[in-house]
Amino acid sequence: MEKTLHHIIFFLFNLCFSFFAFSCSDFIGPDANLHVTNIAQYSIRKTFRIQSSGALVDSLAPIFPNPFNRTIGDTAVTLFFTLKDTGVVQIVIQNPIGDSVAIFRDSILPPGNFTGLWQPVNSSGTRLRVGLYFITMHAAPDDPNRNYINSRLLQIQSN
Amino acid sequence: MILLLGAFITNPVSGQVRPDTGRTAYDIVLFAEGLGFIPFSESYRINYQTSLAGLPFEFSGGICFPLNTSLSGMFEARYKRRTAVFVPDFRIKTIEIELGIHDYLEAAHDNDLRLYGTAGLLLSQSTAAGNIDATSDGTTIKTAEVSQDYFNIGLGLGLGVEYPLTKVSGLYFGIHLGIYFADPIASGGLGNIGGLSIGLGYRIGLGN
Repeated sequence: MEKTLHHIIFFLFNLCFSFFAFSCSDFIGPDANLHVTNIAQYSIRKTFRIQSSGALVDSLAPIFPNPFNRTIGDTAVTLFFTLKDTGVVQIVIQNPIGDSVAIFRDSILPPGNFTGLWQPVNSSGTRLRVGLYFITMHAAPDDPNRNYINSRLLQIQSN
Repeated sequence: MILLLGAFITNPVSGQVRPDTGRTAYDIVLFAEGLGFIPFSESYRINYQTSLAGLPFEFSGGICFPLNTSLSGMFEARYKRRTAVFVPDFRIKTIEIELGIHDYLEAAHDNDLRLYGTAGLLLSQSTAAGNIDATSDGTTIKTAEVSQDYFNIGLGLGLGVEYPLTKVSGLYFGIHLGIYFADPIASGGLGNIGGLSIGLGYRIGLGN
C-alpha cells in the first residue's frame, strides 16, 4: 500500500514537472535583435535572493555536466532554473571576457522549475572550442523590481 | 597627457646635436616600465580591472639590440593581471611578447627629450582561471578551480619620448597600442584583448 502510494506521488510529481519542463528547441534564439556586450551593469550580489522555505525563488542551479567532455559521452549541458513569478528568461553564453557567444530568450514563462538542454554551439551553430564560458540567466530583465541575474562558469574540456 | 607629450615633442632643442658616428653606442639596451592599461574591448574594459598586487598597473621589460645609432631590434615582455568585477574569484593573466624594432625619430641632443617609435609583432598567452561547481549529474557538487590558456597574435605600435639621465641611461614616457586579431569571440576565444598602455620606464645601455 505504501509502495503504491509512493508510485502515485512520484507519477503526479513527474506529471507536474513535465508540464513546466521544456527543451532547447523552445528557446528562441539566437536573437539577432539582442545585443548583450557585458553584464557588468547589473550586480549579482544585490539581486541574489535569499530562499525562504516553501516559496519559489528565481535561481539558476549548478549546470551539468561540468566540465563538459564530449569524448566521454557528454552531448548537452543541462540548465535547471526556477522562476518565482511569470517573466521572460534570457540565457546568455559568454566568453571569459563577457562577450556573448550565443543568446537564447524564451517567451514569457510561468512560475516553476524549468530544465533547458543546450548543445555547446555558438550563434552560427558551430561547436564551441575548448575553454571557459559563463552561462548567465537573466529573469525578467525589464522588471526593475525583480531583474534577477546569475552566472555559472562552465568548462568545456572537449567538444 | 597627449598635449603634454606634444609639448615635449615641439619643445625647441636646447642642447647640441651629438655627432652621428654611425657606430652603435651600446651592445644592448635593457629597459623596464610600469604602465596603465585601457582595453579596446568594451567588455574587457567594463567587466575587468587591472590588479597587480592591488595596483592598477601592468609591467614590462625587455632588451634592445642596436643596429645603428637610431634603429634597434627589440624584444619586450609584458605582464598584466586583470580580475573580473561581475563574478568573484575570476581573473585573466596575460603574458605578451613583442618582437619588433625601436627607432629614434630624431637625433640625440644633450639634456633634451628624444622622440622614438616602436613597432612589432605581438604574441600572447592569456590564462583565465576561476571556480566551477564540478558535477556530472547536478546532485553531487564540489568546487574545483579550473583554468584555460588562450593564445593570440597581434600588432603593436609605440610612441614616446626619452630623457637622458646619464650618458648610458634615461627615463622615458610612452604610449603603446596593441591590437589582436587571431582569437575570434564567435568560436569562444577572447577576441581583441589589446588596448592602450601608457607608462613610464627606465633604460640603460650596456657594453661598447
